[in-house]
Amino acid sequence: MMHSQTANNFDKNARAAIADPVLQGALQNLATTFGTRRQAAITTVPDWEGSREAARSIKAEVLQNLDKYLEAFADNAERNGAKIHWAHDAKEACSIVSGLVKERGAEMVVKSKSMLTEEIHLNATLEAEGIDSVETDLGEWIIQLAGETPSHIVVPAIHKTKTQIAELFAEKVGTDRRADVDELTATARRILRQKFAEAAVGISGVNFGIAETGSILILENEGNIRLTTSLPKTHIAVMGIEKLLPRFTDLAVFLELLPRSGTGQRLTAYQSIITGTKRTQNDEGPEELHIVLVDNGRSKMLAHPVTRQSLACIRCGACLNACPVYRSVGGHAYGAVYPGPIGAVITPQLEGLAKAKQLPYASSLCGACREVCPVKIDIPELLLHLRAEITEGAANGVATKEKVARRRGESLAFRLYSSMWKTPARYGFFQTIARTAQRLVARDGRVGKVSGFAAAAAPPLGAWTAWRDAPAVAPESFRDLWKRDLKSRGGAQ
Amino acid sequence: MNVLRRAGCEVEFDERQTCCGQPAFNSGYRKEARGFAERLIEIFESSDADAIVSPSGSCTAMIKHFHELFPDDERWRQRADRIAEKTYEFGTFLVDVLGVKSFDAAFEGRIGFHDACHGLRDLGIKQQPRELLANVDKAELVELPDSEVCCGFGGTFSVKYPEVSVQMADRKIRSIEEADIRAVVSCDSSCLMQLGGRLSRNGSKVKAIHLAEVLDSHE
Amino acid sequence: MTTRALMIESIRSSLAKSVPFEHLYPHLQPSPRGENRSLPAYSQSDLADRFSAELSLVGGEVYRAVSEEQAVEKIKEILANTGVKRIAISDAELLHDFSLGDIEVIAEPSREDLLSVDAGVSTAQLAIAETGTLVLRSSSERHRLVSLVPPVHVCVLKVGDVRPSMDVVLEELSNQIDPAITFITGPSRTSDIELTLAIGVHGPKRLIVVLID
Repeated sequence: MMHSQTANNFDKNARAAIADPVLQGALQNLATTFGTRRQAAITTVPDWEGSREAARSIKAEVLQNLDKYLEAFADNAERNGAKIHWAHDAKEACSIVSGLVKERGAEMVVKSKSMLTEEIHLNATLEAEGIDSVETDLGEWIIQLAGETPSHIVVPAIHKTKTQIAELFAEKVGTDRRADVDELTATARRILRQKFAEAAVGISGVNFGIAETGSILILENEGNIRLTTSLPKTHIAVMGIEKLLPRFTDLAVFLELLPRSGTGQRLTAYQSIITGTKRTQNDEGPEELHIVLVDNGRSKMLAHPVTRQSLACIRCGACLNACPVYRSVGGHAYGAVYPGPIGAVITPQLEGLAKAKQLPYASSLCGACREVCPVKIDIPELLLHLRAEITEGAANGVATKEKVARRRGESLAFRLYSSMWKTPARYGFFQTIARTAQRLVARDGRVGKVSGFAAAAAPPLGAWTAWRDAPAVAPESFRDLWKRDLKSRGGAQ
Repeated sequence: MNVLRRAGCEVEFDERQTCCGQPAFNSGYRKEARGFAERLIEIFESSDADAIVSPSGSCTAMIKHFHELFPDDERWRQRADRIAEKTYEFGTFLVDVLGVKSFDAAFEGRIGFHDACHGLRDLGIKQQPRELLANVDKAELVELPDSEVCCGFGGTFSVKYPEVSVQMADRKIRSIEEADIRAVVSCDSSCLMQLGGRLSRNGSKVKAIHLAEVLDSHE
Repeated sequence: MTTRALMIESIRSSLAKSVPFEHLYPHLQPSPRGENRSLPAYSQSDLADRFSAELSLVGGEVYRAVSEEQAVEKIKEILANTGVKRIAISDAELLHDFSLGDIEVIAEPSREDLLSVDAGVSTAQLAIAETGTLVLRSSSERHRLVSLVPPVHVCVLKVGDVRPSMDVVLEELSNQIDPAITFITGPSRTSDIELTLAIGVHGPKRLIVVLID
């Protein structure tokens, strides 16, 4: 089931997601499996917290000096034979890539998984230009066949059952309907192998770029990235400008953190470190390497330390797996390219607050994400920052100057609460009113379901009591009790 | 109050106080939150008490975060920090500051503890309530498998996205019911309101009560 | 202005706008960039055993041999048992004059060869004991396709080339960075369908390592 693909429909999408038993089953699987695997993997690192802190500080260093590191990366990569392209936004990036593909006369390209290419909607551009862009990562190929978008950063098709996938394959590629994981995988291998063999261009993402050497590292389990980046004659690597590390040896701590955080593995099956192009004609590999550096709103996020930390993200997906909200509603409910906690903080920044104004509120601020983030991004802090941005309409450091229409009702309510609770006298008065008014709805110290006029007058009360009882205001407040009795009982007993 | 007095404290309650302002802060209304913070700081500055104790983990956490409300005001930040330094959550105060872990309390039955998010992750509250509960006569403390998972309250989240909030509560309630406990205990009244409200609506016999109520209990 | 200049300027001006980091986070000391991370201690003597154990855990098959000759014999034995008819080999020195009885050995495989052979044989220049990882360097050997395309990858490795950890290997590699360095830890895999493990997606289904003492 495809939810409304905008980030301003989280409430509707969430409701639909909760009512979807197939999705709920898949999410339950995700929560238990990834949780256990990650826990087990962490125990194999002697100083997990030390590694997290090292990673955080390396990323903070890079981001604080991003201009220098980016120029060093570009110069070093070019020195080794790569061609660097600069793309200020998504449109420019797509235009560069499709231009490169067309210039080489390619009508079909193979592509490996890259969230950045999802973000810039690269496939749509390529298709519009008559280029067949074939996803080769199994999960991405599945959703490409289904015409859907990924619901998770690491396992894009997690929302689908094997039965659904078998149906999909039967429909799109003519296999039988046997829902056997090994058979389905073998089908993908067989069909995509042909594409790898024929494609003249391979497009990939980049996990890490190394400033001091101009190298790029891409990691995977399936082998499709290695095929994409070594069989075709041209390799185009699309990279976010924030994906840098200063030194080659900095990779060690990130290779320790990323696989464990993402999939609970010590290491993924393959890492490829590519530094420029081949040195002699006799060598293997592509003739050309093009690296497209993409900004698309990232540089603006540097303008405040709180937002800057979101650029440290290494796209491991651990926050999604840990988040009780994600576990309830899945990725599509967020209506954005990046779902989950990290999606809730970068989407409003990349797309503008107005386009994603529900997302910063789609969290109970529990902090489970902050606990598991390998680079220690304080997501709850970011959510609070964005909420303040939304209510106060300021433009400090956020990637947009759009003023979001203030929620009149809520804003009024908070100003009222602020003024009503300013003094104990007013607070007491408010309590008395509540104590009186609740006679209409309270029974045995509880307030049951409130509907009709009362719910319309106080929507939060209606929303609360639709599913939960509310405690009635106590007949005697603590203050009254204190005055009457507790105060006089004096000090220590 | 009773428990603190039995632990040997002289306790006062300043009637001028109202709210720490967390609901405003969490919803992004920083100006309003700042107003609440300034009031609270002023009120407690006028007291010569050695410590400020709160029965709520999230309120305590809010007080510890007060300095974030004064990014441009060094003086207010220092005042906020001075108050924050001597503010403690109730259970932490008893165990870590007073070193008192036993209160001649009795509570018959199995109890499970819910680790409220702010208490757990902002204030490091984990062992203290368990130590206190272990010393309650006739009580059998059982560890709930998902004690650290959020109950789904999250302030306005609970009414902005009620279906999600309730589903989060329901997941916890499944393990609560499976654990066959008489009561789920926590250090945060918002969590208790959320879990208790849902338990009560479900007609469950499991109660949701505050740590202080258990420590003040004699049955 | 070029796009490069514009983008760099955009970064610079954002950073210039920012409140200094320490102002907001006085408690977060800038820490040395990763140098103080504690690393486990390793004993040289059990590196080969550790390597075998770790690689086996992730589905690799590891055999020991006391000499190059024995290694070749071992490979013959393994491949013969699986009904392999045609194999491709890399240009590694060790594999010169590599012959396997009735099995056809293709020394300079074309793309078509690679797509149709039953196994590919290569060596590895380094390995990581901690994770059971092979490290292949393009300046030393044409490894990229022969270790990837055929459904079986056989890899010969010398015990003396096994290092304790990724940290040590990266340090060593940083002295001379090849155009392509490939790390291999087990056969190809995926959990994309219902988080159920499936082996042999796009890369080899079997990884066989022969360790020479």
